[in-house]
Amino acid sequence: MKADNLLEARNLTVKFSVGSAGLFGKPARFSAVDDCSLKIEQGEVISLVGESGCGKTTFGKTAIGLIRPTSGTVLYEGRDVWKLRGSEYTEFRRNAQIIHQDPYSSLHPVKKVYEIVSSGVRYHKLIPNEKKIRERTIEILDTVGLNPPDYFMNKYPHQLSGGQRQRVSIARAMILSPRFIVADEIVTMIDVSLKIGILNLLLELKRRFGSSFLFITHDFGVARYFAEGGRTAVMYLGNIVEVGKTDELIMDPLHPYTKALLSAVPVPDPLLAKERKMIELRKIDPPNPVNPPPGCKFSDRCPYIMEGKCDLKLPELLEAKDGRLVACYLYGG
Amino acid sequence: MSLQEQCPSIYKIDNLTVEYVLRNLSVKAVTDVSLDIGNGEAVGIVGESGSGKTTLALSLLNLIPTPGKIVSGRILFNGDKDILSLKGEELRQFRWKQVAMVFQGALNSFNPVLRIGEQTLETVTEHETIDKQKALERASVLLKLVRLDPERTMKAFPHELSGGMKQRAMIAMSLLLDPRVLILDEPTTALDVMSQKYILNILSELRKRLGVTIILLTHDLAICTEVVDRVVVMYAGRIMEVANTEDLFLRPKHPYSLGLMQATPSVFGDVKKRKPIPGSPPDMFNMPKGCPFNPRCQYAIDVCREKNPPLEEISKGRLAACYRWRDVG
Repeated sequence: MKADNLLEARNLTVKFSVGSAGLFGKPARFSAVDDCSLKIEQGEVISLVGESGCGKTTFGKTAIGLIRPTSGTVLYEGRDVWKLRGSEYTEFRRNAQIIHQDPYSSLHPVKKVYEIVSSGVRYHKLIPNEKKIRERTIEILDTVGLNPPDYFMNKYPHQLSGGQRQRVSIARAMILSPRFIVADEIVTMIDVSLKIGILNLLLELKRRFGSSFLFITHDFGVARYFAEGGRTAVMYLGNIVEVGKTDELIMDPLHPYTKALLSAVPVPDPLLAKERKMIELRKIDPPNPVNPPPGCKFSDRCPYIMEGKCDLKLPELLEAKDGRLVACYLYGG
Repeated sequence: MSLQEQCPSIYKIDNLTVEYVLRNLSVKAVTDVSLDIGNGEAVGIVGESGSGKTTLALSLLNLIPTPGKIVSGRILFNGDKDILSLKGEELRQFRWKQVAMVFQGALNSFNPVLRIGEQTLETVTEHETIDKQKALERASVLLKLVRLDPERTMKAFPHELSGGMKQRAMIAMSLLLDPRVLILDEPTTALDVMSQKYILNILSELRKRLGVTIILLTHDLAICTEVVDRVVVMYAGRIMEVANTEDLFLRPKHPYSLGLMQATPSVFGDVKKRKPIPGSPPDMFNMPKGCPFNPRCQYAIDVCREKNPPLEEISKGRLAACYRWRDVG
């Protein structure tokens, strides 16, 4: 029997040690991801939005089994990915792929594009002979817009531009027809004029292969463009604070942090920019993640703080209205 | 009346061309750029990677690193000071005292083993003979202006501050010697949206309070709406369009400016109208004949592939380098 959810993260916590308190002291521990749960259905796009350091990349890497959670589980088709063995594990590895943020450091510098793209197929022995592997590689290079494939196949990464390298990364992931893809800030380092092209390519591949996406970005504009009816989860200092349909969440944010974040987004329209006012926070800089405030981690900056409540206990992520989850006492909790 | 007309120009750039020479190859990073920047104005220079905006900014400080060379052109500061002929002590005094620059990635350019306060003092005493107490007072006024707690910040080491705090401290430091011009190269690129917004607000505030001229280099058109009066759009080392911020956004007159706007994914407005600019960025070693944008331009006609269009005044204070600006938009 197959579960409804392709992937489910249950109460994930990932702790890291930072620095040390002298020679014999214990290093400080902090939770990069703190008790986060998220379900991703077959074919669904979930955007994970948050500022740098909020734990979104750690969450993504944990979700595809690259980081072992300190506690909590990641279920792939209902099974704990850290308990998969043998062929089950290999199958999960093939089906869960990641595309990294930086196309300048995520490609092997002394391998040619052909080797980089085809290595997954060879490792998983998906295609029996070299001739067929070559055909498949040519096909995927063509699909990701690296034309003519014969020309790009024999290039080294340093001979390509940032946009072309990111296409190589996408080809490397998509050649395995994965069912679940973590795309981590994949257009952040790409020139403005080429961003939409990369996003369009990924959307087309998504429609063709029906893959599910965890789409990590700090840019609501990019999240909205990629959403296509999907959902967005907003993270702050390791916690998921709001989840909802992407369009609804952007038009009507509920959590004070989501509201503040959206009010700060620059808009490429001078008339609209004049009307918009940023929500003033009580503190303009986020706290040190090693030492977050007690209770809700946003409470020290939140303009709506209810003292004696928000600064005591972390609010739970609960349904505030139709399909919208919010972790804030303003909406019950 | 535009700001530019009210104030005499603080910078007058004439036909500037900058080349980088690599072995036997040479690349023009900036080609034939002419631009006036008004005193007290805030100008945005927008372009993608390789557009020449950083090279242009470095020229304004006569700071082009080898193997770069200014091959032709002239830059006048404040009417008569020829920047490119400044040398030695004169040049050193000009930088930071007259024009300060916050470099790209400046938040990583603090000395990691000195407290912010120590680095600040060093900056002042290197350039001026001033007693320590006065310098500290000035620093604390500026730190307050950038919304930092002066006492805590001065005592902190760089690693104790967040990215946004470091960038704001850097901006405060750049203003210590009361320069007339502040150049900022991608000041918000590595920062998240909230820190970005605070920095943009602070820049507007600094301009109002100190009357400093601001030159903001960015790849992101959207942040121009927040701070600058006028936008200069660059592509492949050339100026494509110069316009007041509002005019540029509402009625872009160069196909590249229009393309950039359509390519920016926005939080609001119609998402489905977004489209990329076709083709790839220009190969600087192998520039196309004619207009550098012609291989990617939907408006290109035969003349665009033959001759480079001059930057012309198309209406008052508005410039475009395109044979077909009348048809754009």
